[in-house]
Amino acid sequence: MNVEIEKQISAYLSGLCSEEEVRILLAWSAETEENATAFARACLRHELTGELFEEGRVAEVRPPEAGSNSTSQRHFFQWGAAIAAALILSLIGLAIWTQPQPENDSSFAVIAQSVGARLPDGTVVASNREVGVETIEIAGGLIRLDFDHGASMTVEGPARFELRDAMHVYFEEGVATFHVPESAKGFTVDTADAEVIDLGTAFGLTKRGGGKTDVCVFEGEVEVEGERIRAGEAVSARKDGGVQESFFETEIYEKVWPVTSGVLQTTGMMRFVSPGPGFFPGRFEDNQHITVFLERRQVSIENALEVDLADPGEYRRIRREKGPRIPAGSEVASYLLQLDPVGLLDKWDGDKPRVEGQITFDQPIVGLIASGRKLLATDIFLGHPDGNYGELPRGLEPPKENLQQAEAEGKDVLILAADQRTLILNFAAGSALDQIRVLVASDALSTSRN
Amino acid sequence: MDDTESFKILTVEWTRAQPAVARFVRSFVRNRADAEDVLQEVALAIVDRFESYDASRPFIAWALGVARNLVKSHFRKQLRRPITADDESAVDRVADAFEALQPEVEEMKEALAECIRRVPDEERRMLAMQYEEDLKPAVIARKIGKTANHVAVMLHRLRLGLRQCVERKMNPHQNPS
Repeated sequence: MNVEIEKQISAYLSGLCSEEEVRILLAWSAETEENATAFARACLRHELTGELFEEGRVAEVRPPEAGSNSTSQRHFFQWGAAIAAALILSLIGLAIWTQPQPENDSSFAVIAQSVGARLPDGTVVASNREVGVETIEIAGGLIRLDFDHGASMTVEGPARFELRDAMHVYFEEGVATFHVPESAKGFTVDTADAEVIDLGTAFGLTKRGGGKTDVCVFEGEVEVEGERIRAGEAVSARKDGGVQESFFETEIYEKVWPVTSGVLQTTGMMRFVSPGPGFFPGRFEDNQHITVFLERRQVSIENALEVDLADPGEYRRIRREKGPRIPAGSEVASYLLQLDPVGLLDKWDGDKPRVEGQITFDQPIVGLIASGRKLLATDIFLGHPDGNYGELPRGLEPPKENLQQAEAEGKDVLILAADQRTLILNFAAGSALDQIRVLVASDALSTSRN
Repeated sequence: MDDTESFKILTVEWTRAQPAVARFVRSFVRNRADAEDVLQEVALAIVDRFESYDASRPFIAWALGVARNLVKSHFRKQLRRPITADDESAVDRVADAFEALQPEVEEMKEALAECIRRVPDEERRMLAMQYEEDLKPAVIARKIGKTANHVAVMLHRLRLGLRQCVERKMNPHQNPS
């Protein structure tokens, strides 16, 4: 069987396929009897494996977890099957047997990040708490919820919302951004003013009273009250009816969008860029900030990848010798930091002001690529799909004639902190430094789309 | 044959066929609660239509025929897109395959049991979380401190390994694909 198909069937059995992927898989199964049999065999093995665990025939090695609800939905299902059998028996006059239904594990998301978030009574919101059908209210700060189906939602307080089920949120108040991969297409956010159905995308939503809901689409498409809104478009939906085009404004999402994108905090001159009109991956012009943007959420490193830096420490230059390697099979997210004050690329002036900034990711940094050669070599699979990185020099490589002076004066410092998640830059403005690609361990589901 | 006799036959046949029908339904209806509902519908339909069952045909084939129609009906209700000819054809073909595979199910289950017992403890723990607790990769990942993608990849590799192991055991003289 084709390796890709087998992988797809495995994703299907793990519940990770989108409706479209299921459609493709079914079309493949319908093609030939051989395909249908391969699919049937895989499903059959899957079901039999479940039965074997259920019957206790393949000893489970895990010690029971305190407080964990290990009751499986399979129990529930098999009980359901028994009910079906009982129903038949009842119809022929035999007794129905009864038994209490076990409870399901009802959580479908986790508060993956809590950044200064607190409840209305001042209690700090803890991260790593599993959540299910419930209403959540925060007085301030940010929380990011990661759903089991791969979607994530970052909310800035004050906010109040109700998780109605894994695919449905009722948003009463607040500012939020959403990233919804193919696996969660159809994810719906309701407010008092509008129904927003995600069609596989990233978008921001603001509900601050006043009888209207603002929706701003960063990537892909959403449906607002039945109207399709595309990337780079924004609308206001009003309670009294009607969806009106509005100004595409991402500023309001500047705190929440980075958290949705895996960046917990930026300080100093570091600025995380929300996608939208005027955003040109690779050549975003901003001479006031070190701009950062997410290039790809999830990339599988096929062959061991040489990077420039991977270990915590303080670096004053990128050495051109052999760098550390990220092993094949690793999954990473890539971000690009741009420090190119426009028009200053060719200058090296020791009197320029400092460019300082810090960025903290929610997952460990596994490598930094800062040399022009490696940046160029990795653009194709780590760069933004729509990126135009141009032909200009890039990378953390000061001109040779200034190198010794720069090193001696300690002008440019890059620190990869011991927590492996924080990157600190302190450079002289006007350095030839241009871009740094940061590779972070990917925590995204395999169904996320790049 | 009176009604009592007829119902006795129905009960016996359904008891035999129910596991295969349940596996088939679950293969297409991935949500457990929905699968339970569909299986109940199948059970009721079988009772309703039992008079039309031709006893010269295998009951399992007839039961799978009823089940495939209700799976398609479930698709029509649940899918956000129109059901296609390919969807229907896949359900029919896979139902036929389930019927054809029936004679080897017990052997497959025994082979699978032996293969799973050989899986190292850590991986077997992951299998147990997926199969016994019915947890999704993201939830398993949180419990074991790995990424969801790591879990999804590991589960794929485990399934691949189990398939090859089962094929070796069932067809010792053939090279697994």
